[in-house]
Amino acid sequence: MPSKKPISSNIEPEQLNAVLMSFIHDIKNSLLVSLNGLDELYMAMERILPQQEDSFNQIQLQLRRINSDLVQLLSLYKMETKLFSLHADQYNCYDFFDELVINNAPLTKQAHFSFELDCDEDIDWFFDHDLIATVINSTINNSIRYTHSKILLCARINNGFLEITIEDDGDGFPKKMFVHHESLKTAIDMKSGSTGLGLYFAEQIANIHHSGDKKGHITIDNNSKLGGGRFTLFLP
Amino acid sequence: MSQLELSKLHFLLIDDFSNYRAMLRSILQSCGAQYIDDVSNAEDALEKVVKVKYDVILCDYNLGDGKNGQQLLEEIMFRQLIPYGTIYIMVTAENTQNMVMAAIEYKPDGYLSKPFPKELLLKRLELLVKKKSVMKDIYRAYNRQNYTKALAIADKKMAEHGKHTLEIGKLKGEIALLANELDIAEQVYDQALAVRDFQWAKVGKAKVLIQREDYEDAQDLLEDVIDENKYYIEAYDLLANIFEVQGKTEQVQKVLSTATQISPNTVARQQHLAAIATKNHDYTVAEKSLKMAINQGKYSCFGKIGDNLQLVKIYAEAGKPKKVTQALTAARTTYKKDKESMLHTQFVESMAQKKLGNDDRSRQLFQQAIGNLPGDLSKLTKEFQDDLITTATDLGETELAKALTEDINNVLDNSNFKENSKKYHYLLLNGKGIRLYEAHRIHDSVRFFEDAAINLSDNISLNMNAAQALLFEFKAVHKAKKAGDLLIRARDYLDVSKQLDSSNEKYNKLEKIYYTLIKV
Repeated sequence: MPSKKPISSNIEPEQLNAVLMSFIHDIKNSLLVSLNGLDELYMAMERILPQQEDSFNQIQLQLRRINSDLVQLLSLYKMETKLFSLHADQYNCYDFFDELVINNAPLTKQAHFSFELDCDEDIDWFFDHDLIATVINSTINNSIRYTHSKILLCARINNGFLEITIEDDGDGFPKKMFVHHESLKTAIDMKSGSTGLGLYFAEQIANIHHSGDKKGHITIDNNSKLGGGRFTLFLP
Repeated sequence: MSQLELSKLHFLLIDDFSNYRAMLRSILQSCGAQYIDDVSNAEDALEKVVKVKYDVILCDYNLGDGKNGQQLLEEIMFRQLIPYGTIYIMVTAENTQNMVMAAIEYKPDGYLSKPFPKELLLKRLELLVKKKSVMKDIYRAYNRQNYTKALAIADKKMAEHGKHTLEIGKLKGEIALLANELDIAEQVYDQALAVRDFQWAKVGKAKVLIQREDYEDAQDLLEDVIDENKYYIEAYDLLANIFEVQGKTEQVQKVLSTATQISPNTVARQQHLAAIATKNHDYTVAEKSLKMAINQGKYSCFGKIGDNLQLVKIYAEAGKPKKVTQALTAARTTYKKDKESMLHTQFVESMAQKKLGNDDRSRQLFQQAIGNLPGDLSKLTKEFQDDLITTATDLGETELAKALTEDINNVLDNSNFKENSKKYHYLLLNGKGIRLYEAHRIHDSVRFFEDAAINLSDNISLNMNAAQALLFEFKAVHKAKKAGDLLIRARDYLDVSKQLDSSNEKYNKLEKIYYTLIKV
């Protein structure tokens, strides 16, 4: 009798990773088609009941969340496998953040949140456009889930860093989030199912932005002037 | 709401989904746009941009069969079909910019990922219109190749310290490089590098160093950039150029191989890699990159028949007749509308048949193709000209190869199709004579040599060939008293040769032979 072998015995971990990644790409494509369809459906509806509107918001928010998680997973994978490169250049911060606000506006508008940007028009800064957009979008998505009525996005230069703050008037971060995660392993708590993946990702992205001996980093606290949680990204 | 006035702008929408075009159209119309054209594919878009001067082109990356949005942009930029002021926005389905996009040479003015709110489209348009208007004067001077003026305007704009100062700096560096103002360019890049480790500034500085032939420092800078951003494709091309100048062909191949792995769809780089790999006798790599170039070239303005034909030659060299046939069929299918390419293909087929050992077939194809050559060979592509000479030489048609080379280089001569065609015909007869002569069928060769010599009487080689064949024929038959007028005919050709060049060595040898024979 031949001994029973585990199914995965002839798959190398690296191959498995590549397979997982191609699945993620596939899921992401389906998601975008779904998001598109949802938008079209919403536009095509002549009358919409408040309850239906809520459902639409909920679906859209969840789809966007999945998408943003997948983008982060893909980026983390690239970082681990050296497929990663920094495409840093100089951008006008006001234009950059304004576009992020505009892009998220349908979501906040539907949910009747106010979403404001506070940034001088003449700040230029140096960063990777796509990566930082992913971090900010993911944080905004998070804020939308927990805020009561307001989200504020601020950017200013302080002490040689660009400080990007996203704060809201929700209940703030739970205490267990304040643990600093050194690695992906500790960031993901298998027992509780809660993951610090988003924060871990943000931290990694911040870290690879450096200038001279200054390195990017993030902080989270509940000291928002709006009364809720506050996330700050520091870029040198 | 946007302050942008859309009512005066001309829009072109390119998307293979008519629903999406209709949606974009209604968005733009709701914002006041009046002039909107839309098409579903790249070919129609090309027709449109030649006729209408558009202010904004919104193009989906994915256009179904045929060219994609990027290939369309490449063709438009390469053929300079749109003025600098036109805004080209690429609409993509992915919401993060694809790495492949980051590694391309011809970049659009902006990207939008589907789905986007209409406010974002308007904001993008507003920013781009403003940016274009700031840079407009610099580009106008630049396009007229008035670099001094372009640099002066750039300096003036930079002194205003506006929003686009850095962007103008980048452009100033490029213009200074074009104008060969190396000190100015270096200053631009050094200033930028003093602020930050800008990748573009390092690459710019490397270009300055390459111009100064300081290859070592340039190489360091470029490798530095690649270390940080392996998708900075221009850095690979520059490195390849450095190695090529230094004759390090193995390293050129290595760099280009890496670059094509990252950005496989650029036809020109695949062509470059194929040429280098062929030089290095690495036919596996050459075959692979030619196939890529051919595949991508079908929809690109950089595609050329030469790639298909190079592949034919590689297969012929490797002795693979089936693959040769396949590659030839592919070439003929893609380029069936182009007469010159079809003729070129026939010469290369002849060359391949010769390599595969099918001499008769090769000669038959060659003879047929020679009859179809145009009057002015100087206008053929360089590759065609080279292949023409090589095929003639491979087939042993030395005289014809010489005549073809002369015709290719003779630009001033009013080339006459009929005369050239006649000349090639008789030179081919001369070639046939030589082959018979060399096969010791001197008797049979004589009539070909005489036919050629009489009709191209100002060609000394043909006259000498005729004389030589007649003399040796005489030598072979005079004992049998069948010599007839062989010597008299030989005398005629010797006389013509003497008139053309009496100091010719071969002619003088033939004269000696004639005098020995006449004494017999």
